[in-house]
Amino acid sequence: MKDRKRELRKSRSNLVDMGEGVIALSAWTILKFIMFSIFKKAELINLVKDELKGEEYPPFMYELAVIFVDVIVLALMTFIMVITYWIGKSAIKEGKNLKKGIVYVVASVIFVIIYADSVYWGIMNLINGTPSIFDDTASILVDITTLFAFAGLTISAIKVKYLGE
Amino acid sequence: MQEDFHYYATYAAAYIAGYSHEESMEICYSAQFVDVCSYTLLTKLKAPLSAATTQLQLELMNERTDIVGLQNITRIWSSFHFLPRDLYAEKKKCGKRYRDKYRLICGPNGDLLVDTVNIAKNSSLQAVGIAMHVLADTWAHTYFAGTPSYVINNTDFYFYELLGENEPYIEKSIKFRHSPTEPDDIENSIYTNSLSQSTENSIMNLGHGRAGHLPDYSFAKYKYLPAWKDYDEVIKDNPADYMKAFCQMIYAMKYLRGEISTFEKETYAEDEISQWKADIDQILRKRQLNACEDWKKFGERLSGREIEDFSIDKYQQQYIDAPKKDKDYTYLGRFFIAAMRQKSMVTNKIYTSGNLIAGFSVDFAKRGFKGIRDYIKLLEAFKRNGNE
Repeated sequence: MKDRKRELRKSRSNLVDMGEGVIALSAWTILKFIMFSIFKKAELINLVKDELKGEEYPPFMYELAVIFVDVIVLALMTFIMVITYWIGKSAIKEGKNLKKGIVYVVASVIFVIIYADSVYWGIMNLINGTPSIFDDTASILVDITTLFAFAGLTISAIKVKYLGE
Repeated sequence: MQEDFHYYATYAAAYIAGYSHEESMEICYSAQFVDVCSYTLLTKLKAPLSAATTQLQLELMNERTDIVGLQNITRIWSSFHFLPRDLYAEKKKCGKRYRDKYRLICGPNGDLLVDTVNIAKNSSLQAVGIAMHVLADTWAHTYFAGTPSYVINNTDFYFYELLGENEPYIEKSIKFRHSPTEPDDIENSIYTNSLSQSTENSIMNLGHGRAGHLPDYSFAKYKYLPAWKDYDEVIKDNPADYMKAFCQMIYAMKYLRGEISTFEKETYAEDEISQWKADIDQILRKRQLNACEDWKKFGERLSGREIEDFSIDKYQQQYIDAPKKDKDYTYLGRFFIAAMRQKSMVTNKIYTSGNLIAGFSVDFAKRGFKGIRDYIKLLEAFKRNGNE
């Protein structure tokens, strides 16, 4: 009984730590996109030009297209960040025994799958010879960290629910 | 503990143990002086810096946390405020670095406590006062170590105050904030603590900083998870612990006066306080930030004499005005000698246990006058008094 209570306290503490980690890492999602928009603007414009092959537009139209894409993607990233923040906050609340929930655990599992997939394709890109090896390696490393954070959060949440019964 | 216990309660304990009013005043002044004898004060008095028994917040902010700085911090805090309970404690599945810190965890009734009381025997009243301060703090500061360590002294959000006289207690979650200027809000269980710093040797992780002033409030009863206990909770019952501290101080001082032949661990002078037990218990359990007034009234009721309030300046001019050859015979001079003796003893015990966390310790009496100049003064005092 004593060991079970100790395990429960340990799992709760881990859940709080993972929740805080997930919130911090969620900022990376937006940060990555902002850095890409600033430093890879020329690449984005070329991407748009490639999509509109065979058609000639004034230069400002390509920039406008890039801005449009930026806004849409930024909105999407913000939405993902809000979801991630909510997952982290729910984990912290459950860890501190303030609130219980299951939806955030399901969402966390979905993120585990998404980030596992991202890491897999990132590694595949590296193997197949990506032109931007340093950027992609840094991105993979952070994605692996985020994957571990979500996986740890999921495991801790399940343990808390099991031991708390 | 704070002034209410170190000064006024120590006076009461000394008087009950049989000391006169004047002797009790000297003892309790010395006990409280341990909390103010800093480098800053010693520099002002041009007194030996090795006699420092505490470090002010500003001094701690300036203190380095490299090996030398950590040894200096540990020497002071372990010797006077967080006396280790068991320097040979076993801990499985850990490295030497961790074990050395684990062995500095403070607790009552350790072998070092016996040594602390014994070196005050046949010594000055100032030495008695220092020993009482150290003894009292072993009860209040249990489970914390006098060295900056995240893995030993850290706490987390699992911190509950236990309200009510008996079980089942009402558990109230304690909220900590880092707001040094605001007083603790005991009605709403909001207390100030040190900032969370995950750096192992950060000053924020020294002693009971992460638990704020809770260990020093006699009314507080709480449970929490100390970092060293691997998610096992501890329950700290301050009213019961402070009562034991008070009874043990009386017992220790009776021994120091010569009424008892040996000082033994886990022995308390409970019979001597039987007529006042209810009064003392009431003072200890009263929810207040400072119990000075209550303890003062109690002490004055015991002796029928007025207890002068503590003033840091009281003996300073005497020390400053004394000629160099006579400084050791002034009140503060005797205090400094006793403090250096206590620090020397504890540092030596830690060193001989194979733990370098408090630095090296050299037996000057055997090896001659090598080492810190301040400690030559200690040797001279020993030779004058014929002590070992």
